[in-house]
This record gives sequence, C-alpha cells and structure tokens, in this order.
Amino acid sequence: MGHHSRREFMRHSLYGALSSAAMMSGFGRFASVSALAQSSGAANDYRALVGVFLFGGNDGNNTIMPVDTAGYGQYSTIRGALAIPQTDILPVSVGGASDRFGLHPAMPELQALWTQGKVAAVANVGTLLEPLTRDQYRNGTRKPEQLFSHSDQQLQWQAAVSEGASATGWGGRTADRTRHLNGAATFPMIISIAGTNLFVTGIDAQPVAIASNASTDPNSGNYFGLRGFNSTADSQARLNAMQGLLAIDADMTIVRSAAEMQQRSVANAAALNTAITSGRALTTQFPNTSIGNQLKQVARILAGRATLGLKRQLFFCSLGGFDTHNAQLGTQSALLQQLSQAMNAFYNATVEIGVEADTTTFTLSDFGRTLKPASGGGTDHAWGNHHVVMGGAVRGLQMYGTYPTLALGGQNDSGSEGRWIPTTSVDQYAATLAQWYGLQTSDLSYVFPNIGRFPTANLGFMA
Amino acid sequence: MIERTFAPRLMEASPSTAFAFLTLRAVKNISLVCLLVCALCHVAQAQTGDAPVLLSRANSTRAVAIDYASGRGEPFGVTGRTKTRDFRNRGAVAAKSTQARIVLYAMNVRRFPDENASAFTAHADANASDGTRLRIRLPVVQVNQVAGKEWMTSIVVTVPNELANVGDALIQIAFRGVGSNRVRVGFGRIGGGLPDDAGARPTPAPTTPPVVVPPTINPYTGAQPVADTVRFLEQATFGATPELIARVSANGFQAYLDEQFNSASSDYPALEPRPLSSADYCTAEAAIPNCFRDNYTMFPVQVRFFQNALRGEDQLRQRVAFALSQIFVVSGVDIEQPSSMSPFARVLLRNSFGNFRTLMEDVTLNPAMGRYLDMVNNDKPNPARGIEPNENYARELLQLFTIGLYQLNLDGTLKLDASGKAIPTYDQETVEGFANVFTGWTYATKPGATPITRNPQYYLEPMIPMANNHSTIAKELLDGVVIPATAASASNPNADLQIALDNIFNHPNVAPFTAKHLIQKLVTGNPTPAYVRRVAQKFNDNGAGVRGDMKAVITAILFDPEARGDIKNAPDYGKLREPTLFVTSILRLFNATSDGIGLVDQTGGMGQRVFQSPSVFNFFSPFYKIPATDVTAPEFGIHNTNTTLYRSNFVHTMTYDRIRPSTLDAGATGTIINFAAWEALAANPANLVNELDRTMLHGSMTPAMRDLITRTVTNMTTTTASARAKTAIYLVATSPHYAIQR
Repeated sequence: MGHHSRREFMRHSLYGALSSAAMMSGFGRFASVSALAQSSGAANDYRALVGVFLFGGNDGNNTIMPVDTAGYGQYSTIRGALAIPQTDILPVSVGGASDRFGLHPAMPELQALWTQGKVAAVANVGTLLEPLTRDQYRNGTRKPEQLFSHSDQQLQWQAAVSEGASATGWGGRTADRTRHLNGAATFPMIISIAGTNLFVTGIDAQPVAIASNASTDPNSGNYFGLRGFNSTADSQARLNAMQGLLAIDADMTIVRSAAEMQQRSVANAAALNTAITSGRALTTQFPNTSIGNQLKQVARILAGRATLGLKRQLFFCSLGGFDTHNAQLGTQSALLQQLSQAMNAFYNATVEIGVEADTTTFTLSDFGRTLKPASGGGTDHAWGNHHVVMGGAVRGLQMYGTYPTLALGGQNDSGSEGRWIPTTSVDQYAATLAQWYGLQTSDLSYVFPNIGRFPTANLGFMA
Repeated sequence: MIERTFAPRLMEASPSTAFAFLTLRAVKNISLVCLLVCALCHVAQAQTGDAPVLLSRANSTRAVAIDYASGRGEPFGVTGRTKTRDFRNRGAVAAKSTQARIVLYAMNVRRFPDENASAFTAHADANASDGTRLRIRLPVVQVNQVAGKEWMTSIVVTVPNELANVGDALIQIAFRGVGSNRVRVGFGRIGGGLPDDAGARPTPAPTTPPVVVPPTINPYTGAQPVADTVRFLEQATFGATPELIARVSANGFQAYLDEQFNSASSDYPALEPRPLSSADYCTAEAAIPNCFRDNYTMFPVQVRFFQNALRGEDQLRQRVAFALSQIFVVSGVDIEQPSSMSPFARVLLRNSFGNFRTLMEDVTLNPAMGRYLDMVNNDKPNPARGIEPNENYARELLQLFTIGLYQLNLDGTLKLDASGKAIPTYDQETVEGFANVFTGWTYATKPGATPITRNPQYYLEPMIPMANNHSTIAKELLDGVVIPATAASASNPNADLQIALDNIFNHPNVAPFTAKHLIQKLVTGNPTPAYVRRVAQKFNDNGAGVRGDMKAVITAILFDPEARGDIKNAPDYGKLREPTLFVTSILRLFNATSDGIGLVDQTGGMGQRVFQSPSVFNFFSPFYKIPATDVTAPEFGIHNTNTTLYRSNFVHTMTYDRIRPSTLDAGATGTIINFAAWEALAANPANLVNELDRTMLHGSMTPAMRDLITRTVTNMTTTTASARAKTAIYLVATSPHYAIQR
C-alpha cells in the first residue's frame, strides 16, 4: 500500500500496427494469422489449461469427504443436518484404497472419470503467505489479508499473492512468461468465457473475452463481431472513420483505454470467428447450463485451434452461486451436478478433438466453508478448500495434499467452526499446473513470488 | 508522519530558486492557515476557470523546476535526502534517503485554502530505457502559493524510480479535472523524450504579475453554459434530452435540484406474491400468459425500470437510486419473485433524498434483502445442534454497504499504521457480533395468517422481530462497543438493531466510503481525495448539524468544482458510461419510442443486467483499475472484447434498425429512434456534427474528430438526410469519446 507508482504503458502498437486490413477482416478473410512461421522457442506440442472458478466459495467439505466409519463419524457429527448420508457418497480410489473418501452424490460423472484415472483431488488448498500452523495463526503470525472476504480471497486466488494489492494474476503472468511457446502467432494466449478479471491479466497478456453464447453468425443478436457493414463505399468509409476515431485523443488515458478495447475486439473477434468456423463440428453433447455452454465454447475453440496457430492456450470459465449461507444441500447439489456434467462433456469433447492428454481443467474458488453449519441450513465463509483437476495428463486415482482433521478447534482449524488453515498453498497448486503448461523453473519466482517459502513447487499431480 | 523541511541550498541564481525558497519558508505558515480556515470551509463551489498553466522558461517549453532538497535545476535524479525530525527519538534530526522531489510552478490556479496537494494530480510521459513509452503518476505532496507572488503556485511532486535517466519527460498537472499544458523536464540528462505537443509554446512567468482572482463559490442559480449543462445532466439523469438541456441551462442547476428534490417518485409495479413453486402455480393457472416470465423472473421490474428511466420526471431520484442499487445489492439471480423486488426498489427511491441512517434501516429490514443475505429467519445460536447465527448480512453490510475493510481518512485514502500497512476496520469476532445482532427477524405475517417464529415468505412489508429467536449473548460491535448479554426474558431484537446500526452509521468510514462510491457512480471513477473530503464533510454535517443528509451529499457531489465546468481533460477523469446509462442516454437524446421491453437484454449483453447482478459484489468493483494503468475505472471491470462489440452493435441496432415489438405482449411497440430532428440538419454535415458535439460530447469534440466525421458524412455517395444522420450518429455513439462520460 505504499507509494508504488505503476507504469502505464502506451501501447502504441495497437494504433499503428493494426492496419485497416486487419480491421476489415471482420467482414472478410483473416489470412495472416494462420500463415505463421515458427520462430525460435515455439513449442512443438499443444497444451491448454482451463480454469473453472466456483464463485461464492464452494463447500469442499461436502464435495470430497470421508466415507470410512471413523472419518465419516467425525464429519457427520459436526455437519449435523448438512451431512451427506454415508451411503449416498460416491467412493473414489485414493492411493489404492477405495473405502476412505468419496465425492458428492451429484457428481457420478466425475467419479467415473476418477476411476479412469482422469481426475484427481488436491486437499485443503488455500491462500497463504507461508506455511502456517494453528498456533502460529492464533499468535498472529503472518496470515493473508482479509481472510473470509469474498472479493479479497477471490483476488488472492487469482493473483497467487496474498499480501498487498496485485495488478496481475497468475494466469496472466504465466502467459507473459510462456509467450515464446506460441512462436510468431499473434493471437492472445488467454481467452475468457466469463468476462475479464485479475486471473487473466498480465503485464503484457491481454485476454480476449467471448461470451458462451457468442455466435459466429453476423445475423445473430449475439454476433461476436461488428454488425452492419458491407462492401459498399459508404459502409467502408464509415468503418474506416470508426477506426480512425480510435486514434484521436490518445493522450486521455481513459479514452485511450476504451479505444484500445474496441481495436482489439474487432481484430480478435475476426480471427476467433474464423478459427471457430474452421473447427470440426463436435458431436459431443453439452448440458444446456451456464458452465456447460462455457465449456462448449472452449471446446469449439480447441477444435479450431490450428487456425490460430497457438501452441499454448489458457481459458477461464466460471460458475457462480456457491455462497451457500442458506439451504445449502439443494443449492450445492444442483451446482455440483452442473459442474460434473459439464466437465464430463468437456472431457469427452477433448477426446473427440484428440487433445485429452493436452488439456487440463482445474477448479478455483474464493474459499472453503465452515464445517460447522450456520443458521438456515448453510455454512459461512472459511479458508482452505478441496479442488479437482481433470485431464489425460493428470496423475489420477489419488488425492494430493493433506486432508484436514475434521475437528472443531483441532489442529487444522483456525478457530472453532471448522475454518481450515490450508496445508497446501494456492502458489503450489498453481505452480504445478503452470509448470506442466510450460513455465520454466527460472520463471517460477516471477509468476509465483512466494513459491520459495513452501517446501515444493510441484505437487506431482501432473504427468 | 511529521516532516520538516529546511531551506534549500541555493545553487543556482535563477528566479525559480528564489520562488522555491519563499515557498518552502511559507509552507508551515500556510499549512496553519489552512487548518484554521478549513474549519469554516463549505463545499467549494467554484466556477472552473481556465486550465492551470505550468511555467516554462522564456524561450522553450522547459519547465521552471528545481530539486526540492538541494535547489538545483535539472537534470534531476530520482533519489534525494530529506531531513526529518524523529519524535520517537526526542526530536533528533536525521537525514534519510528518499525519493527525490521536485518543485514545479504554475499560474492560473484558483484554489480554496482546503484545496491542498490532494486536489492535484501530476503525471509524466517519457520514453523508458527499453523503448516503451511510459506514463507515470507523480505523487503531489505539497502545494502552496508563493509568498509575495500569490499569483504563482508551487507544486512539489515525488519523482518515481521509473523516471531514472529517461532524459526529457513531459509533465502535466491536473486540478479539478482540468489538465495543464505539458512542460519538459530532464531526468538524469537533458534531451530526448517525446516531442512537444502540437502548438505548444513557452509559458514563462509574465513580466507584469497577473491580478489574483480569488476563487468564488458558484451557487449555480440562473443561466448556465450549455456545455456544463450537458455534463450536469449526464451526472444527474439517465441522459440529457434537448428539452432538458434548454430548460436546465436557462434556469440553472440549483433550480433543477429544487425541482427534483420535490418531485414525486417513480414507482414499481405492485405485484402479487405467488406460491413458492412456479411449476405448481403456472400449471394450475395455465391460462395466464407468460406466467413464469411475469411472476418468477425480474422481467416486470426490469421493464418498469427502463420505462421510468426513459420517461420519468424524477430523473435525479432514479439516478441516485440506481447508484444505491449497486452498493446495496439485491439480485434476482437468487430471488425469483419480482413481487419482492418492487418493495426493495421503492426503498431505494424513497431514501435517495432522505437520510442515510434511515436508508440503512429500511434496507436492513427489507425482506428481499433479508432473503438475499440470509438475515430473515436467522436463528439465535443453538449449541445443542452446533449451529451459529448466519454471518452473511453482517459481513456484507460492513464490507460492501457502509464502511469497507480498511480504516479511511476523511478524504477516502487509507489510514496506515506505523509500518505503512492498512488497518482493518473489523475482525471475525466483530462479524460474529453483528451476526448475533441480526438474529430474530422473520417475514411479516401475511394478512390473515397467524404469526410464528419463522414466518413463511412474504415480501410486501418489512421484516418483524421475534424476540424468542434473538441471540442474547454479548455482541461485539465496532470501536469496542459491546452489547452486553441479557436474560432471555429481556431479549429485544429491535433495540439491538438500533444500537448496531447507530454504531455503524457513526463510524468515521461511512462518510468517505459513501461519498466516494456515489462520486464514482455519478461523476468520475477517480475523484481526488480533496473532492471526496468535501463531500464527506457534507455527509458528516449538512451545515445544520445533520449527519447523513442525502440531499446535501448529492448537492455537494454535483456542485463540486471537480464535477463542474465545460471541459474536463485530465487523462484519468471521467467514467465509462455503464451499459444501462449508455442505452438510456442514447434513447433519451434521440427521442426514442420505447415500451421498455427487451432493453435489459441489451444491457445484459454488455454485462449489466439490471436487478440481476451476479453477486452482492455488483457488476463491477469500485476498486477496479484498468490493467497497466493507475486509473481506477470501475465500469471497465465489465468492459472487454465481447461487451465492447455488443455496445457497438446496440448502436447499430438503434441507428439502422430497431428493437422489434415483443410478440408475447399485446400493444408492444418495441424501441425505435426518431431521427427527424437530426435529419433536418443533415443538409449541412458540419451543422449536424456540431449538434452531435453539443449534445453528446458537450462541445469537447477535437478538431481532428470533427474533421474526420464531417468529411466522412460529406463524401458519402448516398446523400439522403437519413443516411447522413445515421452515419454521423453511429460514429459519435460508437466512439471511445462518447463511451467515456467526462
């Protein structure tokens, strides 16, 4: 919070380099992107990371829970009316034992993928400045700022920085440091289907946002491109004037920022529409849900990825509604069902496209929730949480990290209501994913400035 | 932090160093005067005069500037030494290495005594060593009138490390949202850097001292300039109309406020509560057309919202209520029945011109909010069942609606502890304390029903207390206030509620927190701390000893010198027109016929579906900064490649097409613009563009923009008035200049 002055880069290239031809391409061809020379450093293989942010704070305690007699006993005693019946829990194999943990009953699809070794869990992950014990926490040792606040914890999960404001997210920074893997391809590495946010923001990386229902059809109300232009001279003149206006008053930062967004949107939309149109039509059926439609949009882009010439892509999706202070059982069940069905469809689509081993999907969320119930059949904001990763490169049939001891006021509880002090940091979880994606060890500390404080930068869940 | 400066060594016999010497000696006295005078300060209501002028040397645009500590001229370094008095060490004087500071000199700065450094911003444009162009903020740390030369203002800024050895930088200051000329200053070396601005000329100190014209307070009575009238209406309404521009310009802004403060409120439809199950109701009542849409979605209140915004006379009340709805958020994402949203929307309309304390209470007891954030039927602790009171409303009331996470100064900046860290306003125990306060409330009893501890859903009346379900344990509030434990027989939910709401209302954060939010919603995303302070002072005391008077706050926001004036050209001034205002502003200006149906789908595609915020955190965060800049611009949080295309395509729809009438609603008209008045101007493209400039950009169109649009329209092969008018309107409405309300 000091007097950090931050640079504001004038991205003049956006005014100069994008010619009228690029602008025009929204209405015709976009040839340049696919004719890319591979420059030095470009990757030969393809990899994609797909983040799914569960906004509101998913209750991990009811997502992955113990099924063995002792563990379930601890769980159900504290959970009370919120406990999932033992026989409803979907058991999964962890390290060869199939009687210890299970998934929420609304997630049979993820259970099946788990059994195939395509899904793993990471237990008790959360925001940390450094490893932290209950005693240290209660003695006021350094802890993340504004625990239990949605906005702050969302930003910290996205930034992988839990102290002071961060101007960038770990997705954006990863993109900044892996850009070379895409060679001469100019299309942005990051695509968000859920608006823009800190996670997708880098110093250089500028994400493309596309709605899940965005259409490549110019006649659609949701056309992802500029509507209403044709080849007549007047139409072209209007288009050129519209572009010309973007370069006027460029010294007004706030006006220029709006202009840059318009400039990027037209050029990027044209290229992305071309890619999506060029991709094979998928036969995989996606559920008609918010997250289903988002992941379907990702799948369509994956199918057309060759046209963009990218070797690395980072996607962001989200599902909201997890802030289950009230009536949690029904709400969370419906949400986890949507998540499980959508992730399953997405996995099947990656198989259909042939990128199942090259695509890794992972969850993020504000925080976990109190093990102890709150009035109204819900739970309150907590901290450490359990997450899932999915893909052909995941080392499955395993739960990584350490599942907390389910005891109020116990060794993992920050207080007395079951707010778990994380035993694995967001930094470690994210760094494991980023390294699989292609981030070099030498760039780890740039993307994850605090990673050196933790015992390992690689949790081992990626092959 | 108290810092004392000593007279600089005078290394260079130039007029500038002499000024500096006087300045620095005067610092302490002027500060004292400020402190004395500020106690009497009312919200400054000054006419924005001309732009401030940074002084340069006689024959070039090189600034008159000196190093603050040494008195040396350029080139400047980025580190310096400042002598400070260490009061923890018996006042010993210690020299410490700090960022270098330089002093610039300006004239034509007509400021009130309380417009100190926090009323100014400064930035530098330079070429960084790696060739990138950088724009960097220079923190302004002191501003003083030069003793004996009161027409001259000295401005001390800190030099950030990024400017080390960049050579020449162009520096601009801004005051009340108006930027100065840019002057040239060398860092590390002299030379290089960006070329001077087109038309830039030397701005030396005049040989004859200018007459000092003291700032005046403008009551905004009587006729006002058209340009500022358009700006005023952009801040106070859902969009200017030709009729309003003429009327408000003629009668003045105070008259408009008087009219608005006394106008009857718009309303929302009185909707019947429906059974919980939409399937049951809509199956049983199959004859009802659009049963689900009209009874289980926000559709009816969304349609009315746009009807009100487009045609209601109570524009300011609605605009403030819309701002409040994005602070005190209830969302139809979780609340199904529109019958619950109408009463909540009325709470905001009713309290827009009331008192903030009443607003807090009415919001707290509104059942839609109760349902949304789980205060309704929030049970007292139940140790036997291991259940705690629900923390949701307690936490968000504190964090999002009233005080925020960190202690604030009156000007909205963060209070810092000795180690320079922000200080939290509360902790988990406080949240739990308030969570216990907010127990023991249930839905109002439906007419004819028997009250029970946990009444079933009913949204037409405020929630009611149920003493037997209220927590009686001790409750920790803010600032060390504790509501002591009571016997169950003395349980009193309402008494606790009043104590708790008073406790929050009287917290020093409420004024700056609310002031800044409302300024951001109405005027600019980046208010200076001085602006926030002036409004916060009015929140704390309306001049008659009343705290929380919304009329005083709104007046202070709209009449502030940082809000008013014909042209605001500071680089970070203004705000992106959020989707709702973008849509309504265009429809109102161009005299659209609209039934209000389908407009929420338009704003929704742009990221703002009214009454359906994705969460209690609103559509965008008040803290959002445009990436790679220092510019706080909340609305940019939903501005991306997808939504920006949607905005342009909305303009296309409205200029070249229309929103077609709903086929589900008898008598639907759709939304269509009437271009007749604009087509009448199209025979002369220059006149057409001038009128668009006047009404859409309040005369701020630059010659380059005017030329480009006029030329495009003039050269069209189709010369019909319609085609010309549409081309010009499309170009202005899709321009980044119109996207930004400034």
